[in-house]
Amino acid sequence: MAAKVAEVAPGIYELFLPLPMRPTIVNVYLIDCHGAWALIDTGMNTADSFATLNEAFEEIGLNIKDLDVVIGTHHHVDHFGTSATIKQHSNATTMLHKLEQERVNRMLTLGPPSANPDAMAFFVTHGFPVDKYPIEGMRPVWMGTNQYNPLPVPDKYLADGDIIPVGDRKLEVIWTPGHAPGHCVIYLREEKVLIVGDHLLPKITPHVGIYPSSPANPLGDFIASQLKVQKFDVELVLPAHGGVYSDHRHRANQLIEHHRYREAEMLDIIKRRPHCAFEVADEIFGSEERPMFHVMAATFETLAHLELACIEGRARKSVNDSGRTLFQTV
Amino acid sequence: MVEKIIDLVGISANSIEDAVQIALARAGVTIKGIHYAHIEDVSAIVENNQVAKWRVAIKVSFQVKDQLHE
Repeated sequence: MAAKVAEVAPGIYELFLPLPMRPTIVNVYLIDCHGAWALIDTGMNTADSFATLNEAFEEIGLNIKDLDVVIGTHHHVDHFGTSATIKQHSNATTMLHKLEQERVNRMLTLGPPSANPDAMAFFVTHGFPVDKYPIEGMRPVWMGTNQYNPLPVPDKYLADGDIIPVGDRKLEVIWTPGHAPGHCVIYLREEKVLIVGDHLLPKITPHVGIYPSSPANPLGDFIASQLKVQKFDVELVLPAHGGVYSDHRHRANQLIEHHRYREAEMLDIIKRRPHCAFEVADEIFGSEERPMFHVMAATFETLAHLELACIEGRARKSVNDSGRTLFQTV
Repeated sequence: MVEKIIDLVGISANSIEDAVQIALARAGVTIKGIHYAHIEDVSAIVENNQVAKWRVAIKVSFQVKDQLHE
């Protein structure tokens, strides 16, 4: 892919990097800190993406080795997957939230799902048809490949409220768990710029699901994180997918309302009789044939809504004689 | 004041009221200031001689808000 660069604010460059899946582009942000350079997110570690990253740097008159700081908003393959590769080509200080580093190490060492009895039991209790969709298929195709080449240990951990001085700029860390447990957005207070990773996408909603070993209430975390970012004064929002935009409070409200509406649909289904998460997802997202990854994401995003409804007192769950976890309204 | 009206159909496995509420919840994701819903039509989807789902058509009204040029 030919390099494409846009200067979205003075000294802040949006670099469009290719992805071999949908969404097909991830936006990473290169910041001229006047005497130092910071990169927020890295793209996926494909030859195409890394070549495009290098070309984009050249277009700005820079080289990867000139980087001083690399920050990952979260550990996902398209956001921090090239961090080790960049580290090999520069002396940049790399930073990621500690909870994300735990996920990195899990992804690097995770065996096949069938070898993990807890994962199998989790799928079965939520009604996921492992006979139709063998859970080996839940393993992302990039796992165990060079496409995911994150640093096993970053140089520094990000923490909520950190102010990272880089050159003459200050990069403020806002912890926004939900899409990922250690997801962070980066706030440039003086410039009123918010680099949001996947937290506040303008056109699509990030996946928020419950999986074995994930936090118990990621959707509650996600909604709390939407309310949290609304407190900051922002004029320009820089997302990882989709175009830059301005009204982050409006979009945060939309995302909250979206999930409340989804929950209302799900409560309607479990009001008539108890259902497991897979059955609810089947009704909400449709039962036509679809790729296994979509079925899995739909099921476990549904589970996140149902668990939130239980925590907030609108639903309850029980386990039937077959070991199936069923949800119903209270 | 000018209102805009859109047509929606809410579907519920439980009741006519729930069908209306689901339609309003979805409308609220992208529309602010909804203040009126008129029920236009009610029908039922039948399976095995029983009502499987209520299907309620509504007209939803909301105020048109213009932004003045500054």
